[in-house]
Amino acid sequence: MFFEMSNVTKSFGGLVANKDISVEIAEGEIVGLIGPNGAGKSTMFKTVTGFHIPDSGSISFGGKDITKYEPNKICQVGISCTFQKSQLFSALTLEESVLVGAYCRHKRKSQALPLAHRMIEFVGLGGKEEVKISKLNMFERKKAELAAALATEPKLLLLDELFAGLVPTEVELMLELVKKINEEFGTALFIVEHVLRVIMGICTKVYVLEYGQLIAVGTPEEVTSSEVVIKAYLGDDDFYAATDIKS
Amino acid sequence: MRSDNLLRRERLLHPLTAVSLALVILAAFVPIFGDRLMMNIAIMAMIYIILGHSWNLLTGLAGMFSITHALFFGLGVYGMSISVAKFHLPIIAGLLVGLLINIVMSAIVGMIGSKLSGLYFVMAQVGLSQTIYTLSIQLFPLTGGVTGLSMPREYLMDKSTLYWIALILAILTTLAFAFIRKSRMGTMFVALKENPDLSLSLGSNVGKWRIMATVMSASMASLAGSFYALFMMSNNPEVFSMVISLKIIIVVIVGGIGSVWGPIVGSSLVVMDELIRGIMPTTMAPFSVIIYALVLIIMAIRHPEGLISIGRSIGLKLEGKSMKKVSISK
Repeated sequence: MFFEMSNVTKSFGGLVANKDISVEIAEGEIVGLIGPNGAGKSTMFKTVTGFHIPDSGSISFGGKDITKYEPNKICQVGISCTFQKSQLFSALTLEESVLVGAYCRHKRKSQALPLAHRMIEFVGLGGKEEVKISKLNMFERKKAELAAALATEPKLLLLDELFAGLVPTEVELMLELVKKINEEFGTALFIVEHVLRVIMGICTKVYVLEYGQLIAVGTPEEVTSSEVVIKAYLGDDDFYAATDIKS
Repeated sequence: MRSDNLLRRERLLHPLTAVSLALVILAAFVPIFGDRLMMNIAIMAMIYIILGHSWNLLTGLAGMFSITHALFFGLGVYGMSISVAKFHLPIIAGLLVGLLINIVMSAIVGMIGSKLSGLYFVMAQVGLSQTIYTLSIQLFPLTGGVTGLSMPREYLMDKSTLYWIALILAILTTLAFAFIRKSRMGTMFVALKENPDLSLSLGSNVGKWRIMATVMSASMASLAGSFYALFMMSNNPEVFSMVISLKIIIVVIVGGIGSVWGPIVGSSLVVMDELIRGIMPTTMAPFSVIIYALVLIIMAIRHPEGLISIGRSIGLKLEGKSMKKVSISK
């Protein structure tokens, strides 16, 4: 398998944040991860990206066991991510910020710079190379972070609530961009999202997490009509079910 | 429009470049019009420019607060004086010995800095520097104890030679800092200061870069130290003192932290301090530290970004005016 988490458990003291999680992602696939607040989605992402080391279980990528890799090594094998609440590098310019990512694979500035420029162009921020990150707006900053992550030339990209805080028109634009990443670079995407429009729109497979455990997996349609998932999101009241979750 | 704006800002750098050229030319004339006192002051200012760049690299760029920076400076001094006075090695060997000791020491400090942060890093540094300070006094046969070692007379250079060396070193370190800031290393330094987690996840080996920053910075300070040994023709444990560390910090903070101009502008403080010391009776001289403290407090309140921020804001105002004119004429 291209990317595989098997039976990963992570706990903090007495709290089991992730229990027995198994996830599979194929090359170039777009996979979603949903779940109520506090379900352990971010913990799972941090475990994949090397910020947490799982208590048990293993993670493999491209045939390599990467369970105990440091975050920078994880990036070097081809997994990159965007953070939920990122400030990026506010003192750097856009160009320099994306360069940080580009330097992951290219040690020379003469090679890294064209790549950084290409990525800035790709996310639609061309012409703002010299602008400080602190002068960019929220939407631009998210695109900048995406550009930096793309500059590391990942084969799997993890997006942690990339769409949170965007207005509907921006969500649409970002969605186009994310689709374009998958089509043009063949990057597999693993998306944590609250905005169901995103999950429904592009994912081929969705995992649902509740209280640290996976409770469902399937196509977006299967998952959103699943009894367990509706219960997890809205409680037992049948009245609200099916209608709201799809909108 | 934006690119237009950018061009203007680029052009704004030109006055600064002009100022620096003027400074270099002015500095070139010191040996002609200046007396010994003036040359001494100028040399001290140059030494603090080098030390300022060194500190600015570690703290201003990489964000690792170096509170006992005189440790690296002092090791440079001792490397030179011990090699030359004790072991009769040539000057270049003294320089290399100082560098080597500093690389070892800074690798240790850097490793500590890649594990500890904030206050703990500061405490570890104070511990290390106190150890070295004590050793420099206690290892009498090697270091000459409290009185220090005297360099052999044949190494005595005349003031203007020393002055030229100091000027060249200051210019070289300034260029080195500017180059590093724009290079891969500089980008990685600032990135890890701004957001270590994101740097890590973008594949930057944060621990390695922290050690690298410390080693680069210590090497610069070592250079200043080795030169200082030749300038003073002796060593003494006071080169490790907190006063020197504080002066380095204040020079950069008052000038402008993180900027290549910071130490250059800030070194004017050293000039002022030396001039005041010259005027004051010798018993009062130690009180000059109070002036540093006052300047630092005032700057921290009024211009936390340093003296260069004043220059910048004036520049921006001028730019605003010229832009208004353009729009009216259109």
